Amino acid sequence: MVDETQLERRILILRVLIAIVLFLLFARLVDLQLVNGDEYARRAEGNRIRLMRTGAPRGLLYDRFGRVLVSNRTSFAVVAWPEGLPRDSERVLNELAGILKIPADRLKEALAKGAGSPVPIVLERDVDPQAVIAIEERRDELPGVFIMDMPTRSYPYGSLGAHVFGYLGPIDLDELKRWRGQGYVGTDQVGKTGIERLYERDLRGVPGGQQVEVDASLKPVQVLGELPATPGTSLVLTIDLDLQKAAEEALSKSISRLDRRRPGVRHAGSVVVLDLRSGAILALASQPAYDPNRLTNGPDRGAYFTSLLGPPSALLNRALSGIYPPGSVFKPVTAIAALMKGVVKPEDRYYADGYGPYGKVDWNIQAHKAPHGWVDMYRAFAVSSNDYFWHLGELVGVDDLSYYARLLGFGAPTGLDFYPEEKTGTVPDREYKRSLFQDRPLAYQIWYPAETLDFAIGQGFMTATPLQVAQLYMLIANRGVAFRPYLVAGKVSPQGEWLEHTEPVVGRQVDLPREVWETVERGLQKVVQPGGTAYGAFIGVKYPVAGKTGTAELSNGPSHGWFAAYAPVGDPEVVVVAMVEHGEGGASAAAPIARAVLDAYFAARSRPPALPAWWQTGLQDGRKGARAVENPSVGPQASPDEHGR
Amino acid sequence: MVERRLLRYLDWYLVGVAASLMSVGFLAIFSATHRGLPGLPVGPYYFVTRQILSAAAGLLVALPILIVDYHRFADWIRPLYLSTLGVLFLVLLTEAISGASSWLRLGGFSIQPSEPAKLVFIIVLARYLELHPPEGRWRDLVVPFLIAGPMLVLILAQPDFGTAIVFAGILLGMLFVAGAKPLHLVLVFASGLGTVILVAYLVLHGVDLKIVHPYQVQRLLVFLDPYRDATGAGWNVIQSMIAVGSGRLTGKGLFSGSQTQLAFLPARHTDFIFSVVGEELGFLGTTALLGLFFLLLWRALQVTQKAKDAFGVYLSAGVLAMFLVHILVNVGMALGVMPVTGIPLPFLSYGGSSLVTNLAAIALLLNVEMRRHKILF
Repeated sequence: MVDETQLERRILILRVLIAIVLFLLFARLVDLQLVNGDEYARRAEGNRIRLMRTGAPRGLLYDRFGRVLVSNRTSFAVVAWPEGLPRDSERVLNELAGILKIPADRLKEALAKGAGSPVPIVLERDVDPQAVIAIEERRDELPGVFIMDMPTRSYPYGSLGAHVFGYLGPIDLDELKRWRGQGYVGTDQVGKTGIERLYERDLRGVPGGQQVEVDASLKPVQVLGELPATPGTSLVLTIDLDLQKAAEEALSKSISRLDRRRPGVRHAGSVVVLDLRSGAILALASQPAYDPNRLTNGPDRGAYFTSLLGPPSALLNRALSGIYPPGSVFKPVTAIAALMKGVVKPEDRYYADGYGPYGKVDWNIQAHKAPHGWVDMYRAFAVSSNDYFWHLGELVGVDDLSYYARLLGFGAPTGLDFYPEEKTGTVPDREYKRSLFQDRPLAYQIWYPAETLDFAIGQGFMTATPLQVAQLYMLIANRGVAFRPYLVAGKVSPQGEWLEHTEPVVGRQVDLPREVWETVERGLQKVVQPGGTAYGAFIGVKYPVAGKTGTAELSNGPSHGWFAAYAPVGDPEVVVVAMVEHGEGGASAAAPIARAVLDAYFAARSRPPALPAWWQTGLQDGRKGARAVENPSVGPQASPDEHGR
Repeated sequence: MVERRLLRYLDWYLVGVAASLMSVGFLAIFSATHRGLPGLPVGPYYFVTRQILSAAAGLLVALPILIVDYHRFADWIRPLYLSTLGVLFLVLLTEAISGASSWLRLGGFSIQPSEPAKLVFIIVLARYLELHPPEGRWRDLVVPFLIAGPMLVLILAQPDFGTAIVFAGILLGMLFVAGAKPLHLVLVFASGLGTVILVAYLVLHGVDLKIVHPYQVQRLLVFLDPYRDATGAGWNVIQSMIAVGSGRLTGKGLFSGSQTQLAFLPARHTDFIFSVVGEELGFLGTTALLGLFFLLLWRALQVTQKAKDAFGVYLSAGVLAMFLVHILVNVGMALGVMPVTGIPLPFLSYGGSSLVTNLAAIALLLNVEMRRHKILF
């Protein structure tokens, strides 16, 4: 039996024990809830409230008539809170990579680049809806990972105009450093090339912020406060969508025909179309091209990028960055130099037997055709007589040839604002050759007369971009005035208000006697007339055209084909340059492209597309500048410059 | 006849305290679960409904325990003890759920045998101590330890360290009331604690003891410095402290605690139910809750004190010790001053086995309290 007094004593001890236990717990409650309550309340708020960044919709790109060329669409992005990821984030990233079907390294890289970000890190953009569902279903296995709405770039016309628009890609460390202080974070997308890159600042807009309540898995529960994002400024390009389509189609048709004929050869090409009254680029095509959608968002964008490197590279904008011997499209320069120097008159006849000095043989002889016989300057243009222009080259000499080539814009940028910057090609001269071979024996450094002959027909050391060739023909058409080429006609606010317009700027002015320009133009007109090299491509043409074929011979493959033209002669509006790498003949590969583009231009001119209502005001303002220069008052008043130097 | 006697001598005070605690539990469970739990697509009333049904089941179980004279339990200790050991062994054969083989699936629901096992242990030990009261010798403790031993081993094997602590508390508490030498009990307690510390030390220093995983030890010791592993083992403790602390004086209001509602608080309807009360009802709520527990313990002590015989004293002392250890360990864990062992808070934590066991324990107390008056009728 229990000892009563002992039990009483032990009950008392238990009583004290209970009191102590409960008092200790009570004391701890006082400490947590009363003494340190505010601190814990603050930490609870820190748990609950997070900042998120809402991406700004990027500015749109319109064509010159207000048609959308590049836009945005809604999409889902996979984002992560770094602190929400478990310590074995490797597992989560691997699982995520499995769902997204992309390499896990890409996610790790994104996470590393976003380190230290106060806002969630974008791991992958434009995730397909199946993956979004899979991620939501496996939310418990993917702590710290969630899905966010995020506008993504959309290029509805695919590869059309790709080299003009460019594409977006993840910001790299170099850009992040360069643009510090502009609010970029490591997982932003930025323009990598083209207009997207050049106008990154305008297009980007200002990201917004959201104060969101999150749950323990850091999944947003509700938005507590919001600073809306400001959409980027839209750009109106000078591009005409219809003309761009026509240029792309004609170029692609020509290339695929060549591919069928010579499967082993890597054909490529470009087309550039300029408005002669302003310098506005109406179309600019370069092929092979890429699909900017796949480079910007594709899950396989890394592999896709590699596949584009070529050869032939699909990333190269051939109209601006392709450097080629211009071949016969250069011949107007030789003619102008000879006329200015007074060493020849247009009517002077020369017997073109097909054989030049230094063992040179003309293309028609090589092609087993009859020699051209007696030719004057007009006929020499029409039949593209190399003998004749060799002869002029001999008369002019390398020094003056170089001078006029530079005067007419070769060897220097046209001034087009673009990224990457246009290339300039080479105008050779004695000094150029000396420095080129400075490490070789003296015999290599000397400029030989035979090289002047090559130069005179746009071969040898002479190289140029299609845009420079277009500028030459703009100078001829405009009688010495070349507007600086441009691609952006104006900027438009997200609300549709015009912010600014680009005024045409004269980029190059060459004061030569009017007769010189007219002589060359007459020669160029004969090219598309019966007996001319490009007559075949221009049979039945409804508008007066002046043009020139070019077939630049190469030592390492089929010749490059060129065609440069402008129309309508008399009141010229538009210049087209088409160039096909390894196209063999300018007449067969390039001239049909120019014909197709010019046909499209004149067909559309009579029925311009409907303009959006918001466009009207801007259009009127925007055309003011253009109208002022529609008929440039550049005349022959400039006196002939003896030699200019 | 039976009803009248029950009504007359039933300790309504104890019933009221238990009912109040359960009500707070229902509210807290509903608040913690009405938004659903991750990975469990159930309606808002799922958990609270089940808890109320468990309470009803608990009353059904409590009724016979209350009506049958507690002295009759002494006749059943052998089958009770052996069948309990059998079930505790059986449960080890089940597939582990979140790392422990603690549940037996029976039809549509699962039960946790270690919960009722505590009551069986109390009854068996009370009967032994009644027959062989300790007289201050070491060997008086041998049989009680042999009774507890197999149960402890089976429960540690689940592994369920928290429940093992409760068994140890019950054993020490009952031996103390039964008159064992306090020095002996202190030594036993110290050596038990010493063993735990030694095992923890060895495991943490890379000794592979097969049965104890380092993460278990880390979880156990995390209360010493939760911030050393704030996103891992320390997460629960830190979030619980934030929840309780941020409740401040008056709380954020029922259904309005961000830690609870946004799921920062883990196991909020089970092990950390106290933190839900702390966050949503504040210091006033937690103090009131501690007050209810105080009344429960105080009353249990009174039953112990006034029980008419040794068996009754030991039974009620066992129940008292059980409640005391549960409250200390669970609330201590929620407040970051005790190891994270995951034992439920009596009457509040969601869980049928626990609630039924606690109601049965109250019935046991009421039974002992009631039979004191038997002489009067």
